Amino acid sequence: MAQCVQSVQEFLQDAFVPLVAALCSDEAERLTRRNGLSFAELVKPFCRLTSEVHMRDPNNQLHIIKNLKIAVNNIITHPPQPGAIRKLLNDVVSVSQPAEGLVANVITAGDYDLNISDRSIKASVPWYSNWKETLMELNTSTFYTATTPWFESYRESFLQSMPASDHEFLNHYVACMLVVSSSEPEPVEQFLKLSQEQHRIQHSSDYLYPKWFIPNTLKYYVLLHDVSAGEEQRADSIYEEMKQRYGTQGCYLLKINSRVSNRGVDEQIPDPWSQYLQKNSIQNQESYEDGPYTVISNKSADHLISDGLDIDIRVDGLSNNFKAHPLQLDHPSDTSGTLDGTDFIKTTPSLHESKKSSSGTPHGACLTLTDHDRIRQFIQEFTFRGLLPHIEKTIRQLNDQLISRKGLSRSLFSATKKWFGGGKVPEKSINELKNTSGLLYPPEAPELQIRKMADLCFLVQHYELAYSCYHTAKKDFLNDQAMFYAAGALEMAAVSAFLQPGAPRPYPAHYMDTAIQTYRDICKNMVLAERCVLLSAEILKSQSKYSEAAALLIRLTSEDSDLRSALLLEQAAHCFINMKSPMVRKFAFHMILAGHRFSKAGQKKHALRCYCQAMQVYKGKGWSLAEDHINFTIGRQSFTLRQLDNAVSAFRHILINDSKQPAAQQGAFLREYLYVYKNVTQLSPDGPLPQLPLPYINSSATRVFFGHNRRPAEGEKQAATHISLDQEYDSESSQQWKELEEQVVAVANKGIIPSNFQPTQYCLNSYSDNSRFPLAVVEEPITVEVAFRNPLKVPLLLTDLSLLWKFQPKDFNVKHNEETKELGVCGSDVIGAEVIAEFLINSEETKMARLKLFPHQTGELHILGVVYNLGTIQGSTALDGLDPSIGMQTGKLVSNGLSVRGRQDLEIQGPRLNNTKEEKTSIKYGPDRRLDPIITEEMPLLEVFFINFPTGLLCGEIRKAYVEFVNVSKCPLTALKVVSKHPEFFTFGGNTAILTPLSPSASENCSAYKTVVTDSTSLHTALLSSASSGDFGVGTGSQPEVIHVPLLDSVLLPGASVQLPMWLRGPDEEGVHEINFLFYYESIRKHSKMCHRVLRHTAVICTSRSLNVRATVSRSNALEDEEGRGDNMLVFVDVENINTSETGVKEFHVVQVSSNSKHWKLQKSVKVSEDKDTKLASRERAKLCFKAVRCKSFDETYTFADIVFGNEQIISSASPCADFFFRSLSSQLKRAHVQSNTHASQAAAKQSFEAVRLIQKCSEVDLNIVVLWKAYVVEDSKQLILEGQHHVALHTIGKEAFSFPQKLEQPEMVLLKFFRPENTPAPTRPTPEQLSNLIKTSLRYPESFNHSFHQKSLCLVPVTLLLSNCSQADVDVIIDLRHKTTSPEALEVHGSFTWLGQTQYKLQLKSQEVYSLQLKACFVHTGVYNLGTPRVFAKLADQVTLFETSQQNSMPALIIINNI
Amino acid sequence: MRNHLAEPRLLERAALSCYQPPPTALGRTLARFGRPPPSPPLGRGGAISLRRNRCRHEITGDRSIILKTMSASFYFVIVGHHDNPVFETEWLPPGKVESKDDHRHLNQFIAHAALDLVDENMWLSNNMYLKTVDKFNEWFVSAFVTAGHMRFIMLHDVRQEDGIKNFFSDVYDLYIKFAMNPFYEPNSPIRSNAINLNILFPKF
Repeated sequence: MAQCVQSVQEFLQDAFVPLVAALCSDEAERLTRRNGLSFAELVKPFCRLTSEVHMRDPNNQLHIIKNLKIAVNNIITHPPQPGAIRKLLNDVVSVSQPAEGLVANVITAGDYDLNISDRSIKASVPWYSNWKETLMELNTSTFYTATTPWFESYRESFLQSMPASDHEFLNHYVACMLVVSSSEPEPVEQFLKLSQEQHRIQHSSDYLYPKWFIPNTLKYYVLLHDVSAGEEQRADSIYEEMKQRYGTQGCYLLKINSRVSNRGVDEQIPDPWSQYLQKNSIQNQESYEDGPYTVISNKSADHLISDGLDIDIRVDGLSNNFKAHPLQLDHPSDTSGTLDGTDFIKTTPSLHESKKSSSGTPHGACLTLTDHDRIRQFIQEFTFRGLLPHIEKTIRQLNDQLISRKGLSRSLFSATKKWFGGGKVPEKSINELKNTSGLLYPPEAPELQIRKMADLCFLVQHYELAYSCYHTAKKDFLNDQAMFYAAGALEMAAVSAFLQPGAPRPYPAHYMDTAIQTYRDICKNMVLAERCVLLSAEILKSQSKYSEAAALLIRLTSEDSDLRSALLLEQAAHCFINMKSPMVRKFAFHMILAGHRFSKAGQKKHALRCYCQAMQVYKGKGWSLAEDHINFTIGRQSFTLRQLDNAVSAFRHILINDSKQPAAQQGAFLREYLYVYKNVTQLSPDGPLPQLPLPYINSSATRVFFGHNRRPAEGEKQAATHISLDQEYDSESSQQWKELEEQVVAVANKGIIPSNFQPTQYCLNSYSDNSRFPLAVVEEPITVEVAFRNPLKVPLLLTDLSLLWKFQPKDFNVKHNEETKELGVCGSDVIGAEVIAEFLINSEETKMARLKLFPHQTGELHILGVVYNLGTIQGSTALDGLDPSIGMQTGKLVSNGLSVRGRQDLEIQGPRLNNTKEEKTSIKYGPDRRLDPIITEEMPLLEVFFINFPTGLLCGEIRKAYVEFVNVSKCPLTALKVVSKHPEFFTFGGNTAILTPLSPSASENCSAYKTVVTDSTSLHTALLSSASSGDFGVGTGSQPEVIHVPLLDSVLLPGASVQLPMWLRGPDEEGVHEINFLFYYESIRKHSKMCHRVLRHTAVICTSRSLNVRATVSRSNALEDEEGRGDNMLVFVDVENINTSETGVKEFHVVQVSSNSKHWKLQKSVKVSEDKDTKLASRERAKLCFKAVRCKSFDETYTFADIVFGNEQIISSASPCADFFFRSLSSQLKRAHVQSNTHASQAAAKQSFEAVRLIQKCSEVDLNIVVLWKAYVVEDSKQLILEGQHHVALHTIGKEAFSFPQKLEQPEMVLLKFFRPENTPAPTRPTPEQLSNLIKTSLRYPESFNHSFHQKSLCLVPVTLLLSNCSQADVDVIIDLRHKTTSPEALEVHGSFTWLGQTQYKLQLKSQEVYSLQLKACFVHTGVYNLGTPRVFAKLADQVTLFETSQQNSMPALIIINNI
Repeated sequence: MRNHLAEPRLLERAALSCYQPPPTALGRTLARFGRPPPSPPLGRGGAISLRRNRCRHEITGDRSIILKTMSASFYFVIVGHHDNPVFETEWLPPGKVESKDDHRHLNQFIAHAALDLVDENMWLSNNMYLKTVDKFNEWFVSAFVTAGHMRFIMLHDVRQEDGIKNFFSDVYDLYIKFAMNPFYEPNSPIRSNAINLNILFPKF
């Protein structure tokens, strides 16, 4: 139980005080009313005696009474209505609230710090370790008291408003004051009248209320004298008269109102009444609305006694309530007239008082401090001289009666009982017990006399005597089975036992328990039970028996009175927390229960307070349902109490925590929240927009896009894909784009990337580099994509959703203009904002909203957040399963009208920094400037369209398409370039190409190639032409990927559009290719902020297999050709149709084979088959053979030789054939370059390397073969002719080359090695194979030689050995003719012959030199001989002994020797 | 005090890994408290791994009978060291599905309030199972305190000591296994499906 201001003894004493009635004449009443008080009120503050009083008990022992308090009440003749009492108590409780701003009263209990007295919620959770300490602390702490003044006032009012009951006498009137004013004409007469009046009230059967202690009530005559108005002499004389009549001890002259009212208003006079009257004044105002009852009560109070009306009420009361429980003695209908009157008599004056107080007059305006003393004196005099002697006398009388009866009547009674009722005793059942509990004693019954004496003793604080009397009475009542009376006696016995000084016996708690049980269960009298509980709980509490007290308090909570239950539960909760080991969780639970009851009783503030206090325990622990419930209640109560901010935050908690509530409940919460929020916003419409908690925004997922949405494809036109918000972020591709942009910027800036270069970012997201302020262009939209998430199970509807921004206009060209102007969030002339009218987020959905801004000025823009109306849709639960698109289709979603406008900020945390040591050790985040774009001046804006752009191609197919460039801005653009990783895929044509743009439709059926009709004679022989690579834009720059778009004047004016032809060649590998184009352009005017812009396009091409071309080149054995030159080669080209789609491509025709090289050319076709042209059906393969010769080489000029199989020559040296050739060449070169670079770096140091290179070189050729073909394709029963070309680059003699890049076999998984691989040394020696190619040898001899061995036994055959140096360097050759045939069988088969003459020759062959050596072979037999025995050794001239190695014997050179 | 033990979870592990009262922290602690070392958790000892499975079947069989025959409602919660619910579940009788929806918070209130009595009673008993510690209206509150001071609270409206005791011991087994997971932060809410299913299984 909460700590009380009063000590328990004080409380118990004050609970039962001697009651004195006051009966005033009208005139006296008028006098007191000048002070705004009735007589009873006037004396009220002075009713506690400050001095000790002595009294003699029946045994003549002196008994000291301390601190006696009496209660003076005006007489009122009807009992209080339970309803009125309830109302009074309710008001008392609601008025008493905890004082705001008190020092925080923190109770530390276990793991919890509870803040009891004010509303701030604070709960910290230390873990066990300090639990012991906190416990100790708690016990010694002086701060752990919590006061509950509302409970104390409730208790006080409750006890005061207890209706007088027949079974006890504690609140029966002991005495009566008769008050008459001295200003009355006949005061003595008036006294007589009042005396009669009192007598009539007490003894007439008309009035059963109020109740009087004993028949001859003490009457005390008071003459009231108004000092300011009346004559003092008269008063004195009347007083003299009174003294004679009533004795000095029975009357008093009270002089009041000595102050002249108008004077000294400013004087500070203490107002002791305020604390007593305040609560009643409120009750008073309420009583106006109380219907007829109040009106009558007012009347009756006015006239003090009313006849007819009052009786009417009682009749009413009877008829209404008679059927009620017969044992409810306190019921007005039964006891009719036991009103103790305090409150209702007070009503009258306080009515006036309230009027007065409204005009500003305080209580006691006519009283001086002397008057206060006089009143105090008066009460003291009355008590000492009048009341206490009267009580003393009465006790004595009663005692005498009891003693005298003890012997006779008691025994007589018991005897009669035994005789007459003895038989019944054993038959008593519980039912009977209950019945007998209804036993009513007559008022003067002897059993009641002892109780009466006990009560009197109790009132004058003679607790020992009281206890013994109560004890006796209790026994008597129990004997008589008068349970109701017994309960009363038990109750008071317990209290007086407790109050006995020195405590001779322990507090009999079981007495109380029995009493409570009896009151509650048998008598059904909750009021009395409650009184018992209040008393007992207070006593138990004082003995630190908190758990018993709590149990007692909890037991009395019931359905009939919410207020009482609430208060008792709250007290029980406080008991729990005051226990030795505080039960915090029990406290919290009972606070919740109390709060619930308070709210049911209409005590909203108290309910709110209870819930808030309990919240401290539950907060943040994860008891989500409980927390939701508490928050919801707090929200509701706060709302009804107009504490809207609290309400909003409470509801917010429910919604934003992970809720376990079902959808319907969430919907209800949400609606309530919105409703409350709406009220808040309505209260302050001009205030800042509130921050809304819903829906969640995943701010790091926010994406920002600069620029227009792309136009979709129009017919044949296909817009460049560029970049859009629909694309997912792909780090790989973004890296590619970045590289491309770097390349093109490097080219644009003459090979150097400017230091401040930053790749253009059109779409910013969490992966992009957001450390710089992004650039946006004026008049171009900025799209912000916000990711909303709805955590609830109900859909949310956002309306009028738009962005919130701040803008700072700035002219970037004028440097000094630093004036920064902050503009508000609106101002459509500066920035236009798009508004999304409706945006629905379904339950637990994540949805993106795209919001646009249109900047109209340059400056710095800051996007702050979003602003929207938050609402729900009607029938939210019903829509749960529905397809949301239905709602969207119908256009207008039915909002249930509840929506609030609010904002949410977008705050994006940058990436965590991890560069410096400091950043690594601490947690720091970089800035994220995604939402702070700088609006720059106008820039050109390019749009690119592709016309007739294919989606599918054969590998190597050539297709002509058109590109349209449109400048859609107001600025001219220039320096248009395109960059791609696959420059061999497309071409705009070389410089030699005709730039007259043919319209796409006109060229539809034409060949992509430039052709010339040839005459048939030129068949199979090469037609020559030449071109240099520079003409085709290849090889000029270091970046072959960057291609300048050939614009007229290289400027595209605003609004202008240009169509350019573009040839495409299907990539050599089959499959789907994504080819990225990056278009680069600049403005004519240079800006400080933005130098260039880019446009992206990704083309997706699906290629299917067409031809596979393989070629080998080998040295021709014929050392001399027709022209007598020694260098010629044979080129074998294998063409295979590897197309697999049988339906599409019918057949391929190889229409032309071209060569291009700096040093070689195809000369003629060596006919293999007789077919005119080479047709290749599916899976067919053709072999073509060509003769190639060396041709004169000019620097960087390629010789093109076309061998035409049809009747049209495709000029291979023109666009597009040559373009693609050069592109493929350059890409190959690049590839080779990369490889050779790696080799070179490894072996550069080796001196021998040069030699190897030379030797290698002699087997190298640089012949490129272009196979041009046509494919006949049937598509939709139409025949189409497709054209294409394949390139084969021949580098090495004898090595097969392929048209498609050979797939490298994936190396198998190898063990990961953790050491550096040793540098594999470059081959220091040329391989034998390479060396064998150094010198080409051939033997010339007759195939058969006829010789007559008869004539001459030796046959001499001249043989010419031709040596040809294939290398570019001088070569020393050693020819060794000595027989050194290793194989013995060769000897057997061929026999032997000998070379005659010099057996070893040493020669030096110059580069490309052909040398013939005349040899003679000598045969002795006929037969077949192999002449290939000479061994040729070669070495490079400048090398000394290195590399001497044998030449390969190629073919056996057979000679037949015949004998004639 | 037991509260001062450095790592309550270690106890749970110790209890599982060596079922004999270990001469380690657990044994010492228990000795200090005068609480006899728990007979291998709840009277089941011996070959753990094999036997436990078998026991599970037996127990689940028993319990399913109990729960099927009773049309009572239950609310079970594991409460962590900071009075935070670690795991919650409830069973309603088959007839009234979700009908008590608006009173679900009451379960939490009652269980939470009973913690005071649980904390009080666990020092008075030598057993982990504390029987019925509290009562509110029609609800009985039974409790079980593990060696690591996790509190199992069961709300039930029908008295059923044996069934609940068995249930608690099964859950204790499960809980220990769960707590051994190195990725499980002690006292954090259990969201695992495994423990859910295993607890819910006998019911349905």
